Amino acid sequence: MWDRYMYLYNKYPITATSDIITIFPVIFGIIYYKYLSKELKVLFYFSVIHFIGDIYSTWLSVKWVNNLNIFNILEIIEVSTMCFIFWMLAKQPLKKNFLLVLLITIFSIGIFKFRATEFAFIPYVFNRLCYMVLVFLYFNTLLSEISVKNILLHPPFWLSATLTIYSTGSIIIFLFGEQILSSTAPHDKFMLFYDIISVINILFRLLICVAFIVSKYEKK
Amino acid sequence: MINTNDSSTLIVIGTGILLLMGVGLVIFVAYYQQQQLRRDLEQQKAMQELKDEMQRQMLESALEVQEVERIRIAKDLHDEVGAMLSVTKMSFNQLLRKLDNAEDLAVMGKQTRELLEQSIGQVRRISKELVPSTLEEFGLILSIDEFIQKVHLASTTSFTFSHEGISEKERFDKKIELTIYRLIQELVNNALKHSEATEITLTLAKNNNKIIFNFTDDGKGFDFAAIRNDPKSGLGLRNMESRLSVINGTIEVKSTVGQGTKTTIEIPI
Repeated sequence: MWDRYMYLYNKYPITATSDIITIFPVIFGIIYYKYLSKELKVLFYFSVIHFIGDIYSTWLSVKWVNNLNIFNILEIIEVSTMCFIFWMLAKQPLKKNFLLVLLITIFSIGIFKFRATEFAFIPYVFNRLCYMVLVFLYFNTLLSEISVKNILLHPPFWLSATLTIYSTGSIIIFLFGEQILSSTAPHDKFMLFYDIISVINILFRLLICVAFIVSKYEKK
Repeated sequence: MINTNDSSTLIVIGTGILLLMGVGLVIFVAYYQQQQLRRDLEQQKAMQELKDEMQRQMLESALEVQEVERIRIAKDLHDEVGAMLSVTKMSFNQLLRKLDNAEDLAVMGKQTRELLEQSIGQVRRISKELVPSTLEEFGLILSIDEFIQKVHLASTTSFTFSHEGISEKERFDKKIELTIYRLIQELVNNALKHSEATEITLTLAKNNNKIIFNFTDDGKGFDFAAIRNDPKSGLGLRNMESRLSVINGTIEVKSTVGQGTKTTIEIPI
């Protein structure tokens, strides 16, 4: 099994690295757990779930079993978690209600457009649009209420920055996913875009770590 | 060369542009928020300064009103009560002369006259203490000197007063002179009342653009922090601070239990 894993690692190094880096938010989350706010704790639990899901999907890939259903499930969990975190961060009832509607809508799209053996591109695109909406709403709050002293030590800012990079870096790729990331796409194209997605995923995990780290300094 | 027909290239470029816009948005938000925060802090600071200035002016007005009221009371005491008592005394003297034959009545009359004289003396003293006329007429050094001599006569404490760089006739702003005089009254009063001091040293000096006043006593000292935070006993100290804030002065009190107290006051001129 190890040989098979090393074979996959050598063949898809960026993707494998992205999978390994999934452990980073878990490690940093444990180290800085006592400093995490409620919202960041939810993010930490999500990171743990994602890490377990990634291990399971890697194990499936080593066994030559299609693991795209795991990715699609994790995607639904991810978007629901993000909506929930921003729902927790929102203070105005109007924004809270809006985020609740958004969560239900995006969750429904994820369920209805779920695919077991292929990437579910439509939910992926909607999820990224949803992240953009979340980020715009939060940035609007940050700029209208001057309640944060040092924004660089404010974990939700880093979470927003993470989602901005994550969504803007992958939305176009998933928009054209049927042509470039489906099972019928040419292999070289598939690998190019899958590697880009993996790099974006690496950034996503690392920036979540930053959000965990700055929690300590914001609390101080 | 980029082949525009290649959809992959377009997707990569599109993704790159969108990603750059995303990063740009994040940087913009961080920068703009910091600028906004800075502006907000500056506004808050300006508001605070305005508030402090208003408070200072209100305090200044209150102190002025207090001084005016003291002058009015002193004038009333001196001109009206004092005059009435003097007239009463003269009238009583005439009455005594007519009572020369009645010895018992004459003794009682003399006692009453002494009481009247004491009352006149008290009224004059209170009137003088309310308004430091020496300060107005002769300046800070002589008025402090006079005040110390008077207190020294009524107590066993010895006083040492010295001044450096200030001549006897040198005059300062009226507010500064009155503040220093009132502070000395308060400090001397505190030292005699609470510290059981046997020796009090006062030094007044002019250095650059500052008047530096030092007050030292060898009394029993006190726990400065405790007194400062006690709403009852810290009143005198806070009053002194309030008076000084009007003329941008500062006060520093160093006291150790059993080792006396040193108070340093600095006032810009």
